[in-house]
This record gives sequence, C-alpha cells and structure tokens, in this order.
Amino acid sequence: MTLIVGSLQLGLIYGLLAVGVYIAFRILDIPDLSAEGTFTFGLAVSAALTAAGHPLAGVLLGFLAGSLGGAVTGVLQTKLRIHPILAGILTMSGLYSVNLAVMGSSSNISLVGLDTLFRLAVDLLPGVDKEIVRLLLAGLFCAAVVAALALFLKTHIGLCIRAAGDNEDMVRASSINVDHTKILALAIANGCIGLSGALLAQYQGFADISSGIGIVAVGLASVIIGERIFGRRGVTWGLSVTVAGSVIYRLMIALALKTNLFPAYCLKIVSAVIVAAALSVPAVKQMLARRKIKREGLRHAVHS
Amino acid sequence: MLCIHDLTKVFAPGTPNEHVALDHLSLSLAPGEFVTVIGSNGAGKSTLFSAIGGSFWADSGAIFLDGKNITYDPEHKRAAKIGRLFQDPMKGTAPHMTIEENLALSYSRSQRRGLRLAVCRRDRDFFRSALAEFDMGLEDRMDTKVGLLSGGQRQALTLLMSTIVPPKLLLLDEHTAALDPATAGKVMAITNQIIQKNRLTTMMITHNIQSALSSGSRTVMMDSGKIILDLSGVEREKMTVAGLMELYRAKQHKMLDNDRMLLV
Amino acid sequence: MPIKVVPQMMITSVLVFQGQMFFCCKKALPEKPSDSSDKMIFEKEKPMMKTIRNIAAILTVLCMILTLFAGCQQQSTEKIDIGIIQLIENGAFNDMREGFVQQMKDRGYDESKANFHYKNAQGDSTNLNTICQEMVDNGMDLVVTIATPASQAMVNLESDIPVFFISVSNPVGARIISDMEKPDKNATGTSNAIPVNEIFDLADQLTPGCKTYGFLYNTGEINAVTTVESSKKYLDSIGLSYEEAVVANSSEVQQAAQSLIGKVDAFFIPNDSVIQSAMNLVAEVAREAKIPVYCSSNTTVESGGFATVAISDTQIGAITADMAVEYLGGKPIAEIPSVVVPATDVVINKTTAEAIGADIPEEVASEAILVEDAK
Repeated sequence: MTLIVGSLQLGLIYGLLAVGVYIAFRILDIPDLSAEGTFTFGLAVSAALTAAGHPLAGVLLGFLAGSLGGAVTGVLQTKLRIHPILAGILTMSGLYSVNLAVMGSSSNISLVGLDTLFRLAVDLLPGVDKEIVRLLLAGLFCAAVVAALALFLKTHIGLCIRAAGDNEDMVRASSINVDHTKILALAIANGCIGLSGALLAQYQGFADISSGIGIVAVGLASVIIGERIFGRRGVTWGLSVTVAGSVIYRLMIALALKTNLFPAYCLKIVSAVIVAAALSVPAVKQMLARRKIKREGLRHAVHS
Repeated sequence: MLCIHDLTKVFAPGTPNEHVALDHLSLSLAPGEFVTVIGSNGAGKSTLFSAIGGSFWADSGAIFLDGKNITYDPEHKRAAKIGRLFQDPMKGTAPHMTIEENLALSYSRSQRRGLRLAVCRRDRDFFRSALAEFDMGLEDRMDTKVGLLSGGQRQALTLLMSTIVPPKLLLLDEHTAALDPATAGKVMAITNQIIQKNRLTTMMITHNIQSALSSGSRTVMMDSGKIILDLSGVEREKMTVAGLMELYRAKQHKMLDNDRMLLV
Repeated sequence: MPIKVVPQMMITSVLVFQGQMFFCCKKALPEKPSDSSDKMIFEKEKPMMKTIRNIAAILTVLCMILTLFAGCQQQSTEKIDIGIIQLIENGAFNDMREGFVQQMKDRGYDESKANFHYKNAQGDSTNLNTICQEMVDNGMDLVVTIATPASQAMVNLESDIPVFFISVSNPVGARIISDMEKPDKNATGTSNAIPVNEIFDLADQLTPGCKTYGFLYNTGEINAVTTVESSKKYLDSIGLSYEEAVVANSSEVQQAAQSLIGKVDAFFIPNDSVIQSAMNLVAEVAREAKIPVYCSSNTTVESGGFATVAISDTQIGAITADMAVEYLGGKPIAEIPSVVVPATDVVINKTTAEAIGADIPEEVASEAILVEDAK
C-alpha cells in the first residue's frame, strides 16, 4: 500500500504547512498569503544546503528562512500599515526572486541520490521498511512541532499571541505591544511553513521553484477539513486536528488520482468534488433532518 | 497624580467636518481623588479619556501622570499605569480565552512576559480569591470561555482585570450603562469597593446627574470640549439636579435639554 | 490478482458497518437547530458523539467512492501496464506522449497487449509525488515520465519499476542518471538539448545582420534556463550580444516582449511552456516591430514564431518508445544508453516571413518544412 503510506507521509509533511496556516488564519485572524513565498524559501534553502552536504542544517535554516519571511510580512503590516493581504502578496512576490537566487538562478535543484535526512534515517534503521522509516521521521517532526507550539501557546507570550487574534484592543489595554506580538506570531507561523518546505525538498528529492504555487489553498483546506470533522475545542486540539486534516486531504487527493473513470485532465475537479462532498455531509444531514421535522410538523398541524 | 495642561484636539481640521473636540482643557487630579464627569453628547468626555489613554496624540498641550510626561507615549505603554473600562462589556475581554487566561494576561502587566507558563497554581488561587469577592460565582467557572458569560459578568471581569495590578489612574466610561439596573447596581458597588480599597485615582463618566453628584468627591461638567463647571466640597454637597441646570444655563446661555441626564 | 480482492472485501464490510452507524446515530440524536441569534453560545451537543457521527459519515462517503472505483481497475496479468506521468497540459508534452503511445502501438504493443495509464499533475507539483506513489502501488511494469520534475520524483522513489524519461534537457545535471552511456538508477530515456548553435546559424542565413538577440523565457523552468545558458555561451563565442526579459507567469509575457523592442534585432525563445502558452501575444508584438522570433520547437513556430531547427516532439516520444520496446524484449536498462535526440527539421513559418518582410533563401526553403499559422 505504497499509496496510503505515501499519502500519510505527505500529509504529515504538509501538516506542518497547515499548522502554520492555522496559526496565522485562526489564532491571529490575519489573512496571510505569504505562505507561497516562505514555503518555497524553506524548500530552496534546504535543497541548497543538502546539495552542499548539510541536510540537518538545511532543515533548521529552512525554518529560520520561513520565519524571516513571516517577520517581513509582519513589519509591512504593522509598522508600515500595509493591508495584511497586500503585505502577504508583497512578501510572496519578493521571495520569488530571493528563492531563485538561493537556488543559484536555476529553477530546479536535484537531490536524487544525495544524503538527505530521510536517507540517513533509513540507513540508521536497516531492519525496518524504508517507507515506514520515512513515515516515522515525518511523524516525529510533526509531533515535535505540534507539542512545542501547544506548550508555547500556554506561556505568557503565547497568551499574548492568542489574545491578539481575539481582541486587539484588550491586548493593548493589558500593556502589550500588539505590533511586536503580531510580528513574532507571523514569524513562527511562517517558520513552520518554511520547515514544511524544507522537509519536502529532502523527501521528494528535488526543489522546484513552482512547488509553492497554490499552497495557501492546500493549507486552508487542511485546516477546515480538520475542524469540520473533529470540531473546535481548544488550541492544542486545533493544532492536532489540523495535521489530521492535512492527512485526510492527501488521502482524498490519492482517491481522486486512483479513479480511472475520468480522463486525466479531470483530476482537479474530481478532487474538488470529493472534498466538497466530504465537507458537506453535516450540512446535508441537517437539511434532511429539517425536512423531516417540517413534514411531520405540517402533518400534525393539518390534523389538529 | 494627573495633570492636564491646555490640551487641544481638533478632528478633521480645515474640512467642512471640522470639530473641536478638546479646547485648551486643563485639569488636575490629586492622588486618590474620585472625579465624576458629566456633559451632553458631543461634549468631549470620551475624547478626553481617549486622549489620556493614548488612542491619539493631542494637537497641543501636555499630560502628566504621577509626574511623568506621557503626552507622546504609545497606548500600550500608558496602559501599564492606566486602567480603562468601556460601555461595551464585550470590549475588555478576549472571548475565546478562559477567565483565568484573561486574568493571567492582565496580571502580567507589570512584569516582563517570557516563556513561563501563564497560569500557575499560585496565580490561580489568587485569582480565585479575587473573583470570590465579587460574589458572582465566577470563581467556580475559571475554565469557562469568557464568550459564554453575560454582559454584567464580563464587565465585572474587565473591572477586575483593570485593577488586579492597581493602576495609577482608572478611567470608567459609562461602564454600567449597558447593563440592567440590578446588575448595574452590583457592578457599581464592586467598583466603589475596589476604588476605596486601593485608593485609586478615578475618573468616571456618567449620564446620570444624580449618580454623578453622589459618587466620588468631585464633579466636573464638560461642554464643547471645555470644562465649564468644577464642583467639590460644600458647594457640591448642596447641589441638586435643578440647581445644576440653572448653573448650566447661566454659563452657556442655553437650556440643558438632554433627557437622559435629567432622569433621576 | 487475488491480493487486490482483499481490500475490496474489507472496504465493503467497513461500508456496511459505517452505514449502520450513520443511520443509527441519526435516529438516536436529533439535530438541535442551532441558535444563531447569540453567536457566543457554543453547541451544547455531546461533542464526542458529534465527532463520531461526522467521522462515520465522511468515511462512509469515502468508502463508497473507493469501492466503486476500486472495482473499475483492470489489473490483469497478461497485459503490460505502462504508466505515463505528465506534469502539465502542454502542446509539446502532449505531442511527446502521443508520439510514444503511437510508436508503441506500431511496434506491436497496442490495446491487446498493453494498458496505458496516463496521469497528469495539472501543473501542481504537490500531486506529482502522489501520482508516482500511485504508479508504484498499482505495480506498473514500466513508467514513462515527461520532463524533469516528473522524472526526478519518480526516480527518487527508488522503486523497482524502470523509468523512461522523455525530453529532460539535462538528465545528468538533474541527477536522474549519472552517466548517459551506462544509465543507473533504473532509468533511461531521451534528452532534448536544444541545438542552439544550429538555430543561431540558421538565423544568420535567414535574417543576416542580427547583432543583438533578446531572450524571452520563464525563470521557473529548468529546461528553458539550461537552453538560455548554452545560447549565451554560443553567442559569446561568436561575438554577438544579448538582452533578456524574464517572466514568472503568462500574464507578464506581453509586457516583457514589448520591453525588448528597440533593444534587440531578434528574439530567441527556448523550450518554455509559459511563453508557448502566450505565444500569439509575442508573435503580435514581434510582427508589428518586424522582428524575427527564433524558437526551440515546431509548436512554437506554428503558433506564430519565425523559424527553428526542431526536434520533433512526436519523434522524441517515438524514440523513447523504441527504448522501452528494447527493454520489454529483455534487454536490461543499464545497457540501453540515454540519447540526446538530434535536431533535424528546419521549420519556417511563411506567414511570419511575409509579415516581417524576410526572404527565405532557396537552398534553405527546399530543405525546410514550411508551415503557416496554426488555425
């Protein structure tokens, strides 16, 4: 079942992206579009360093690269008072050139056959199946990041971040510098996104400049799928179900790919239909229930 | 404690909408003084509070708090020393966070916030005892999300949050106006209790003249951005609602015709 | 294959169970119409049951679809399963794919002997990984990948399935194989390094006197970037100069083309899918300014360019098919060297020639394929 294990691996790696999107969109309540740029930034940095023989540094610096991108967006928004959406777009556009520069003006770095973290992990555990090791590594990163974030959001600074997305005036009234809080939070969120890109580069064996296109939509879909299925409860729960949502989304795409009933160019609409169908199940159930209540209510009214 | 010198603020200068909100206003408060502020709509009361709180910079003039010049300080910096309550009970708390998280946020106002866990056992006990004094049952619901509380409960919580670290100045902007009479009375009683216990310098905006004359030790009346009456001591004790209206007419050459203010 | 039946049975039984749960839960807990007047009061329904119901409902839908489509897969042991992975819909890529399939059929591998499973990632490289995993999952006998990212993704999986790549401009540079002569990593195929030297020599014959060339390309495509780099090297060696205008997507093409007018004597377009998609805009701008546009594929010339020395896309697909047939005949992959497909066809667009007032010398025209604008 390579496809299922593969989808799980991808779901966990993109789960970090979804976590970053969750922090920006749900906790901070900021529509941050810089994910496309910061994801590819992490991807490019990780690929460049891995090609030079430093995969672990690649992952760590990928996180930092993403944070830097997020901080820039934060500064544009707060200090320069640029609208959040436009600030994200500006960062994303600017990072396109930065990413090309990082990749040495080439648009594709290949890591096939080189030592990546995944290959090193496989070598470390010779007795275990290769795909399972890769799954464990992805899972490890995911779990570590989610745990760290859940803990962080319970500290003083974490509380400031959560409140900033809830009631900005109250945060200011509690003598907290809202601007700095937003910049920090965006940096952390995009750091996770950059980390996701960094892992992906080493996982798939190449970094391509177009890997980030449309990635915000993927992150948002994962967040919403997770919330819809598992409900909203608290921050720790929210982070965990976001990762689950990412995995489920990948499985839905795999499902769409597996169907041979439609020609190849229908891939995107088939995956959209599957996601829509899955998300609309609660609404459809409610509609049917209401129809039943109405029918019976009217019937009783006629009788009496 | 609070010294306002010649404060002026004009909104939209040079346009047809030009409005002089504060007109060379000067005011001094001694430490521990409780001043009530009254005036018709558009008099500039809330604008005065916003200017003190730092929502905007005045065009000219200076504000001193406990000897320090805060005229150009950013809002969040002033918030360390100034507590504010608003009419809207929803404004002062974060609805998706629990009571204890909200309290932890304001409690850490005086310290540098770091990576320590926000709510520890000792803090929790302190919060619980503070909430218990309100006698509203909030101390048993510290894990509830604030969004589930009623308006009066949220306002009481905001009150506690503003005073848990005693501020140098407390600004109350009609904070019971949106509550029903019973709850309003309760919140007002708690307010007085806290002010007296901590000897807080307070300014309170109210639309009820009777209440303004009976609370605190001094009453200030504003009109068109200026302070037109400043009553304290014996003169204030003897003042009645009718007497106040007469004084107003004499000063401003027009009738005080705001219904809400005249309701007893 | 008997193994494939087990998952189907599991799915059907899970489906039945889910269906029961779904309908039972629906009866036991009627939905309370949510009170939307007070946004702050959250739903008081038992959260656990709600979550279980939601999961059950969604899994039911998924399983129903899965069972339906899983049954439609034909996994027979007699036919060869050939997977084809394409990154994006594109005239050139489509031609390569069709060339491959046609050649396979001509060499005897038609519908009776082979199943062609074609998947397209729709330009979304996130889907590439999943497509490759799906090919491995389905146990393809061989996989054909078109262009570099698809080839990289497939080879990186390090599965047992042999990979035949079509038109990767630099297979060794992209680490898909280490040696063109002795392919390793269970992969081999065709490289379409564009013959820039020949194209510029042709330009000199058709429109002599061009001193400065303008490169118009998408920095995001490695094939294009490689071609531009070799072009720059050649132009440097023969003492000509160049300018460039780069784009990131097709909305920028027209302005980029316009920015080169007045600065260059001719355009050069490498093998670039973004420029190709907006080629008629470039053609309009260039014809207006009477500037020849030299391209890297016949598709681009037909879309309004001037001339090229082309590798036929269908032909490159066919050559790859020949290599696949060799493998299916029993030859091990390591003994099928990767080839750089030579360019042979001179393709010139007559409509463009008239529009820019260029005369095609007789000796060139007799050897060339003359085309008109594709309708």
